[in-house]
This record gives sequence, structure tokens and C-alpha cells, in this order.
Amino acid sequence: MDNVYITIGLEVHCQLSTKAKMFCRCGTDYIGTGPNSFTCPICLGLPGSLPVLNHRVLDLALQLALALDCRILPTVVFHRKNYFYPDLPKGYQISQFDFPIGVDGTIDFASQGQRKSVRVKRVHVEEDAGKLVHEGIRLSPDHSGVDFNRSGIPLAEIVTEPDIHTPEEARECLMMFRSLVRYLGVSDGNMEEGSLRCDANVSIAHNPGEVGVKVEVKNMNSFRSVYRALSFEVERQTKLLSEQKPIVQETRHWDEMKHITIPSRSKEEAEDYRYFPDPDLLPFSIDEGSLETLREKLPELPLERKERFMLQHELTENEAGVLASSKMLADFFEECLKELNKPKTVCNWIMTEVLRNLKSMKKGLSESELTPKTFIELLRMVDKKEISGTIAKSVLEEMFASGMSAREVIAKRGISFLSNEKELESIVLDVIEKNPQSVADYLGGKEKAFHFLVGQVMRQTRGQASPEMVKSVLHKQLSAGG
Amino acid sequence: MRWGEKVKKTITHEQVRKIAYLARLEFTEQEREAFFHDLNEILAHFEKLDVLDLSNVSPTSHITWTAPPVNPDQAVEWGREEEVLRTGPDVRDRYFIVPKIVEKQEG
Amino acid sequence: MGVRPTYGRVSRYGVVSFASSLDQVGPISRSVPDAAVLTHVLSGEDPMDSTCAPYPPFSNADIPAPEETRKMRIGIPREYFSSGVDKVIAGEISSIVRRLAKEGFDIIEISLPHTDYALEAYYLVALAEASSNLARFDGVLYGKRAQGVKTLIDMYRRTRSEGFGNEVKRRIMLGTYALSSGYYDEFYLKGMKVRTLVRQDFEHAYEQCDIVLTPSSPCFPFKLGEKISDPYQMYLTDVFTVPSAMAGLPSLSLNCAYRKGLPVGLQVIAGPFREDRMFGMSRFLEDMLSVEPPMPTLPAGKENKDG
Repeated sequence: MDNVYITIGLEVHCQLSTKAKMFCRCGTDYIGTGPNSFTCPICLGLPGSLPVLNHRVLDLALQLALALDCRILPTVVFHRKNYFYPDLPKGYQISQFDFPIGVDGTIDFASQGQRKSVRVKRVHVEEDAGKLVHEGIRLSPDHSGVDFNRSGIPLAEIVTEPDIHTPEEARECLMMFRSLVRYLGVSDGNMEEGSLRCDANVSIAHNPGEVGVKVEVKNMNSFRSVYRALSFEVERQTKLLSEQKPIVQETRHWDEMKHITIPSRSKEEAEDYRYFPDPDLLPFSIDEGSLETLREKLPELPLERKERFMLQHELTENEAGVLASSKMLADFFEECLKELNKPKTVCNWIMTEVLRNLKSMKKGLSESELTPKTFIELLRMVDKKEISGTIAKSVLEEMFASGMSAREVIAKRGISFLSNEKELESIVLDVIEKNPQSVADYLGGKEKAFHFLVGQVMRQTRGQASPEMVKSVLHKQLSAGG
Repeated sequence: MRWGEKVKKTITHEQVRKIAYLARLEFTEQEREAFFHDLNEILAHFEKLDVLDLSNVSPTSHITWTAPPVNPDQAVEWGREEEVLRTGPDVRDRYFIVPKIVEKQEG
Repeated sequence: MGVRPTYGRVSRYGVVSFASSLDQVGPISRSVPDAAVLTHVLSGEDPMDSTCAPYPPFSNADIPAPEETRKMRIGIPREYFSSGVDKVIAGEISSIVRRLAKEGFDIIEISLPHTDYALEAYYLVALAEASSNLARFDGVLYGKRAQGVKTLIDMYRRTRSEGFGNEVKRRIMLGTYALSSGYYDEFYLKGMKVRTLVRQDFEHAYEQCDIVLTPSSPCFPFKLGEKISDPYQMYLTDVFTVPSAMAGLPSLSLNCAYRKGLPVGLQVIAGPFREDRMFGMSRFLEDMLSVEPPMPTLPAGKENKDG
């Protein structure tokens, strides 16, 4: 692959988190309901219906455009994009053309320790189409079904300049984008459920200045498939280039099963979208005042937060990156620090134990009952050596499972008595009495014998005592006895 | 193109075919010929506009009087979703059925 | 008589759209008071239509009394009396204008210089919008679907070709062409620009006068189907009602005379949201002219089979 320059541009769609659809009052929370149950004359495009803009769509799109450092256009105009498709009930999609929400922005992210910047060409809003079903139910093989529950859900489309140069960068850029929309709360950014979708333009050339033939790759439904599809495409094109075969300008679909891209069947004839200003929707003016309010409300964004974590809390790039990637996690971390100002300890516990538990339960932090307060209560016990780290880990597991506090778990399991030095003392004395040889060895200078004795005590307590405490009590008793 | 320059406004047979595709209309040979004739006749009249200097004129796409109304972000159920399913030309298991879509992907 | 209120005066929600930026609901009635009452009831803001003006509804209580109406300055645009207009029609309207002058009205000759271009521009805008508005009749969700279609493209083409009539197809074709890549600037954009000029014409006119009177049509009504083979001639009958529609202005057309059993239409055009003036003037004209429609003459000794 030497002497090949890769150029990638992304086109990202994300569903905006509104309660109602973009131009009607239908709800957006249709997941799990029957087909065509969240519809009305407007999102079905019945004759005589007219669109009225949900004002929240503009607010969310403006926040996104501002966070991407775009120049905001003073007037928002909606255009009709005309084409026939069964999931498009009006025969046109209400979208934007030459007056989008924002232009000339950037998206910054870290790639292998380097800060990368990709220019954003434009941010615009449009309505989503319905969903096509090709198999299942009572469909015969020569029919498709249409469900309009998704029709009219607001989408933001973000188009980047071709500033990306590896498939990994493309994946990182997209992950930063997801992190960003989640921080802003403008979208849930879920690729698997289709609320975040990504198409890419890939081209390769022998020289950095040269522009290769653009191939559009579609149907990438996860971050992993973005990486895999682009890697496949780069390899495919490189091979063609080295064999001096032509690269065709086309649209290709990523086949998730076969792990290859395949050319999309070309339509009978080229479409012509015939964009024109939608006469049903008057242009909207964006006033500087409300823009300023939105700008002030912008939260600290993921990359800034990550860099602050590294500086302020002396975390490694990886640690800071993981914590800052999710606003929820980063907020949790900083809430914890208010209770226990030991960033490294708190970070380690979150990065290992908290994330492991969440992963095994397939839950997000928001869905678990763990709060900074209950979590820090546990860490304090470890900090004061009331319980061992090992015990704390199993206590945390039960806290996740039951929703109980650390003290409740410990009380229920009967672990608390072991934090009582007197109880431990009697066990220690018992062990000393039963192992005179080891005691003699230890006193004779054999450090190993001490570990053996600790092990014996731990066994008698069935592992429920803090090793720190066992060691200190054992030390005391042995030196007293000696 | 400069203003005042006359552009012959004619449509070719190929364009008529292309426009018919975009509009999803089909014609018999005879109909197509009649449309070809009519369209060319009407289009010729549009040449009249070529005498106007429109270079500094902004287009009026909307008649606007004031700031347009907007919806609040609150969902309201329509309540008649089932009626549309009853009246559709082909509805099965709550889906609107159309002939199989094959354009999207190959193989 | 027929009324087209100001664009944005009446909600379009529930109206099957033809040309969204031009469509406006208005009553057809026997008398001016009837039309005014209906307009009163129809008008007002509607949160379901973004293009409906959030103004209080027109009220027929606002219509000026005859003595107030007499103070209105009447603009007569010279372009509406050019050589293309039927001489009988031009003569009828001119004589009415003379009577109004005698009644004490201030008559001002005005110019609406882009009148001659309004028709072409109107058709570009209207047909482009119509081609898009009629795309939803595709046989997927409601209405007709052609029988026995095997493929998607077939379903679209056959449903639409069987469902639409010839004139609708012609308009969809023209509108699609006007918007298509490479022709947008030459057609649709030009139409929208000329529309700006037509609007400006009226804006200037209303600096000099309060109301504009014109013939409604350059020619007498033609027989049903008479001009079906010459669509442009058919479109030409709209030439005088189209400019006010392009500018979104309220206008009313009433029968001011009958010649050889056929009506002569007089158009009253007011400024935006000045339906009060439009109805005031129309009512004055109605009272002054008191036109009685003549008894229709049917072919003798024959039943009107194809009527």
C-alpha cells in the first residue's frame, strides 16, 4: 500500500431527539409498537395536509451546528427533494438545499494521541422516510411492505470535507460525532438502531494532491462496519490502481455477512431531484439573540473535557478519553471526586469495575442504580481499610445486582464483624497457636512463613477479612508473642 | 447567458422521454407525439421572458407577511391511524404493500 | 362572482394543493354581501398552515359604507386595455369607469408594466409546484392503483397514467421540465423573478391609488372543449387574473354586463389584506350597475343532449 493516498469524506445522518415529529404532532417513540401506528395525515402525506415546523428541531440543529463551530446562516429555507420511492409518501422529501442551518465548521477528535481536525461542509435538517420491510410476515417474495412510523422524524445531516485519511480515522471521527451529539443531548446517536447513520466517499490516488475516483459506500450499520467497509474499499481500490485497472465512480453497499462491498444496482435512469423552495413552509429567520442564548448553553464538549481531565486530574490519555467519551460517565466521575478527591483511584475503579459490571449487565450507567454517593461510600471503606479490595469488588457486584448500598450488602453478608479487630484477634491467636513451626520460622527471619500464616487466617475467615487488617493484627500478635 | 439573449426553448424527443420518467408517466407513441408537439408550442411562448433583465432581481418563492407559526414539541395522537390502513389499496399485517423493491442492492 | 382573498387570509389545510404558493380558498356567490359573509367565516389564522397569516379574520363589519367608498382613488392600469383585449370588453369597462368618475371617484391611470409577462411566469411557478404536489398520487397509500402491476416502476407509471387526465399530465410534464437540472434557472427561477417584478408593480401602484379595476378576461368565455387542442389559447384567458394571484393580492371578479348572452367580467383588486376595500368597491359597483343575467337561449325544437 505504499505511495497510496486515501481520501475519505463522511455523510452522517442522526435522528434529532424530539418528542414530536418534524412537521406534525405524531410522537417519535414508536419502537416496539405495531407498523403504521404513529401516523397522521401530515407524515402520511395525505392530500390537503400541510407541514408546520416543530420549533425544537431548529434549536437542536442550531446547537449541533454551533458545537461543530459552523457559521450559522441568517435564514433557514426548506426545499423539496423530488423523487419517487414507496417510503416517501409525498413524492418528495422536505430537506434543505442552498440555505442549510450551518456551513464551514470543524469536528475535532484525537487519533493516536494527535488532535485531528476535519472540516464540516454543512449541517442541514430534513425529514426521515418510512421503513421498508422485505421479508417476514405474510409478504410474498415479490412484495415489500412499508411502515410510516419513522416517516417525518427529524434528521440532521452532516457532510464533512474529504479530510480523513485512514479507515481508523473515519471510525474515530464518527465516534467523536456520536459523543458530541450525546453530550449535547440532540440525538441518542445509536448506530445499531439506526438513529445514527453514516455513508462515506472513498478515493485513492498516488499523490496527495491528486483527486481519485470517488466511490460512495453505504449500509454501514456499526462503528466496526465503518472501519471494515472502508478498509475493504481501500484495499479493493489499491489493488485496482496497482493493476492499472479503472476505478468506477459508483455507489457500493457494505455486505455485513460477506464482509465485502458490492455495487448497488443502478436505477433505470439517473434521478434528478429537482430541488425547489417548499412553498408550504415560509423561510425562518435566525436572530442573533437566540443564537447567543444557545451558544451560552453549550456544554463543555468531549475533547475539551478529555484534555482537562488529563491536565487537572493527571489521567492518562486513554483514561481521560474513556471517561470523557460519555457525558454521563464524565459527570459521574466528577461527582465522585467531590466526595473523594482521589482521581486516580476513582478513575481506576470506574474504568475497571464499574464498566465491567455495566457491560456484563448490558446496561448504561443511567439505567443502573449506582450513584456517586453509594459508589464513594464503598470506596471510602476500602480507603480506610475497613474492607479489602477483593471484597469491595464483590460488594459492588451485588450493589449493581440488587440496588442495595455497600453497608446493606455488607450487613446482609455478615462481613461486618471481620472489620472488628477483636474478632479477628481471636482467629489470629488461634492460628498462631496451631502453627508453632511457622511462627518460629517467621521469627527466625523467613518472610514466607508470614504469608503462610496470613493465608491461614484468611482461610478461617473465608476470605471475608481485609488482608491489610489481617497483616497488621498478625504483626502485632507475633511481635507481642516474641 | 446574458440577458436579452434569446434562447430557443424547445424540447427533444429524448427530453420528453426523460421528463416522463421523472414524472412517472407513460405514453403511447401517439400520445407522446401529441405531447411533444404541445410542449414545444407552449415552451416557445416562454421565450417572451428573455427580454427582461432579471440579473438583479431576487426571486419570490413565498408570499410572506410575518414570522411563520411553529409547533410545540409535544406529541398528540391522531387517533385515526386504523382508518388509513382500512382504505389503502393493498394492506397486509398493518403494512402498505408494494411490488418488491429490487433497485437498492444487487445479488 | 368569485373571490380570491389575500394569500394567507384563508387556511389551505384540507385543500388538495395545486400550486401551493398561489392557491387560495374563496367563495363563489350570487352577490357581494354573500361573498363578504363567506370570506368573513373562512378567514383567520390556522396553526395547521404555516402560510396562513396570523392576523385577525376579515370582518364584514369593516366594509366601508358607500360614502366612504367614494373617497377611494381608483387605479386603471393601461396594460389591461391593450390591443389584445376584445374591443367590446374594453369598451364596457371604460364606460363603467366613466360612470364612476361621474359618481365623484378619483380615477388615476396607472401602469403595471410587467403584466404582459405575468402569465408565462405564473405558469412556470404554478406548474412546477403542481408537478411536485401531484407526486403523492402514486398508488401506495390511498386511492387508485393500477391492476396487475408487477414491478414498482410499473405501479407508478400505470397508476399515474391511468389516473390523471390529459391536461393534468401536460401540466405535470411542463412543471417537471421547468424544475429539471439545467432548466431550473431558465424556467422556474425566471418565473419567480418575474413574480417579484409583478409584485413590485402593484406595490408602486398602491402608492398612487387604493383599488385597481381591470377586465377579468381579455375575451368572452369559449365553449366547453373548444380550445382543448390549443392549450396556450386556453391559458391566455387567465392573463388578467394571474398578475394579482402572483402578487398574492385579494381580488374579486363580478359580471358587469352581458353581451350576446355572455358575461363581461370586471376585476376589483385591493392591496394585501384590504378585503374591506375590495368588498366596499364591489358592493358599490353591484349597486350602481344592478346587472340582471339574461334568460339563456336554448337551441329551438331540440333537446340539449350534450349540455
